[in-house]
Amino acid sequence: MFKAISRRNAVHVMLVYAGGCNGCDIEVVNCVLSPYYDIEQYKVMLTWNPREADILLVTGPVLKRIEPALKKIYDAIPDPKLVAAVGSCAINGNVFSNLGGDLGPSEEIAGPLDKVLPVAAKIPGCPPRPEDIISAAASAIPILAEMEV
Amino acid sequence: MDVVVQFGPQHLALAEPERLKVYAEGEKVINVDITMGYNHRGVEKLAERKTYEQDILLVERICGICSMSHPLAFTQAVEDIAGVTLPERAEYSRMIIAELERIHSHLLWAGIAAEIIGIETLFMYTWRDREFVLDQLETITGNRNHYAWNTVGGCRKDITEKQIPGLLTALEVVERRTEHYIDSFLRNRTIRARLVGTGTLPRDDARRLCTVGPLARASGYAVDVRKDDPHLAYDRVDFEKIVLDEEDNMARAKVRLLEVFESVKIIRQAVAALKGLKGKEIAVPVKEIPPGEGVGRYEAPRGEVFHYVRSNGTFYPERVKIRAPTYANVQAVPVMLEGDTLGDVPITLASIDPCFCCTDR
Amino acid sequence: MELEALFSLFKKPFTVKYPFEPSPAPEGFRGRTEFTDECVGCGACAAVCPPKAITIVDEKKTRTMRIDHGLCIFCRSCQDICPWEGINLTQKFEMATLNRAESYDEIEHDLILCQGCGKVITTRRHMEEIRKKIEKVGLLDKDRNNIESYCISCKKDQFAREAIEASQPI
Repeated sequence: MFKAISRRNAVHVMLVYAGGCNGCDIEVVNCVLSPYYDIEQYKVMLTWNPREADILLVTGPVLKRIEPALKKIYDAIPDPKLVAAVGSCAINGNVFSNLGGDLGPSEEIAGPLDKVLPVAAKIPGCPPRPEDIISAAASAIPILAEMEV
Repeated sequence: MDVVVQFGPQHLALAEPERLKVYAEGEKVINVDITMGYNHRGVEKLAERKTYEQDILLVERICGICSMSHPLAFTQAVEDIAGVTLPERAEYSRMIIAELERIHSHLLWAGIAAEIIGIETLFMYTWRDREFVLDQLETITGNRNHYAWNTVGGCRKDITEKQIPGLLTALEVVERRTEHYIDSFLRNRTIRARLVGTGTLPRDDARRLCTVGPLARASGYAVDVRKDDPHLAYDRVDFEKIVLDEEDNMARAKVRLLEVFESVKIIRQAVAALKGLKGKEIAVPVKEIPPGEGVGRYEAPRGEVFHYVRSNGTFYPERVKIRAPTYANVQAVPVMLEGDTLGDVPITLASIDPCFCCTDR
Repeated sequence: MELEALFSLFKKPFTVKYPFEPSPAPEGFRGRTEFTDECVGCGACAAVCPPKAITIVDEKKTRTMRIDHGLCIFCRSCQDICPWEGINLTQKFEMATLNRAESYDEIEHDLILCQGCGKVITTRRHMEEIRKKIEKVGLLDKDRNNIESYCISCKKDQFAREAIEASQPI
């Protein structure tokens, strides 16, 4: 109960970089920290510590070398938690995913985020506009507040 | 006794996944091991199974900050094979987008450096002013990061008359604000204490390690592809190569901020030249790519980007090789850090403006 | 910097109040990709799409073209290649969703099947457009009105058979 009250007052977002191109990451950091978009005004904070995070934002097509670290980070986040896939890399693999033609699926990529973690929200775009990320955060917060521990 | 400090693949001090192993004696850094490759997506192999037009969009997604430099170098390599001469209007409009990218990249770097030093106010100001440039890029190209501007033989879109006044106003704002940042970097005591005299890279080492870009130019080693191997319209505009010989972190900050002025200067001249080329074509049709080899070089915000393409006459390239600037620059980090304290590791690493997603591809 | 901070106290905030205030995308922004009514279902966009976000499924007598917005990279290749202005990048951008099923755009077309072998020739609208173009050039053979009923290999067979029949002595 204490947690539900505190979460209504502030939501912490953690950003994990899983092999993307920097575009989405900078847009996420831009919309949380920079003075132009600044979703800190709606009590959404960016953190780099999984222990205090509520929402995990993942960018990039989830490479095999990052996968174990990503799972560890996910396990370290206390329940209840949500995962959001930012950008088309995390949702479906973008240009990297498939289509090596006769090469078959790429050997470096552990697949879209769906295969690794349960994904709640998806933010399409390459990269998504910061406005998109803000509206996704706005739609994800009520769900998080209703989730029971 | 030696201390080994690990900065793991996912770490608070690093935005991108790479691993740093810092060997220290007390507070003094003795050696640094850098492990890369956490970000390898196999772009070069993927490029062999896509058509040239699709490859331009693929190499654009190597990096979200240098997303003009990679396609530009790639198209230059393909145009080299096909023997295409670009129309003049395409040369100038490519140059405008590329220099806008340099401005936003350098302002981004200034913000990140300020945040690592611990001055969040300066970070806020630089990222605010970066928005002006990003807005212009969004208006002109249609996206904030991935511009989809190039095609083999020209540009995919034209800069219209309506967009130019907004562009020039944004340039004025950026120029005025950058003067202010140089002033803050030079006068602020905290910044001076963290930057002056740390991360020294002597000129001989810069040359020996084949460094490129602002890192080399800050150590007095004057390399700049725009001047050394003029392409696009760089030989027709007037700008200076910024070279300083102070060799420390502060020199790198100065080089980057002074380059913003040069970029502003280039864009103003290019816009003036575009007015004289009104109504001219922006792309020449390229029917086929003959068998052969081609090379494309471009001075990205971080240094020289090098693309090699081999064609066998089909729709798909046979081999694509990419060398990103950070790959050359990161070798200099152990030299720069030697003898410094552990606290200087993040800012010295940041001073080469590392981009590991370019490097690992 | 210190003076700057002092002056900022009296200025209007730079921050946008986005969800409560609209923040429209500029003209020419590459947003949500959508099919228009002009689409004839030729499939040029699917061939050129770098991440293969546009898929074509032929089932019985309908062709379903579907664009997956989760995979789309908003590169405008499809709009550039389309000869019919059948696909457009709109200025819409608020696409974030909690449900995957929402992020598709679909269009359906009737198919023409070969009367000989039953293979797919192309969509009905595509054939109509092709017929218009051929008529404009004046190449349409008035005697052969069945260009749309056979696929290329069947047409070759038919042509060969006719030629053999014509050459046989009576």
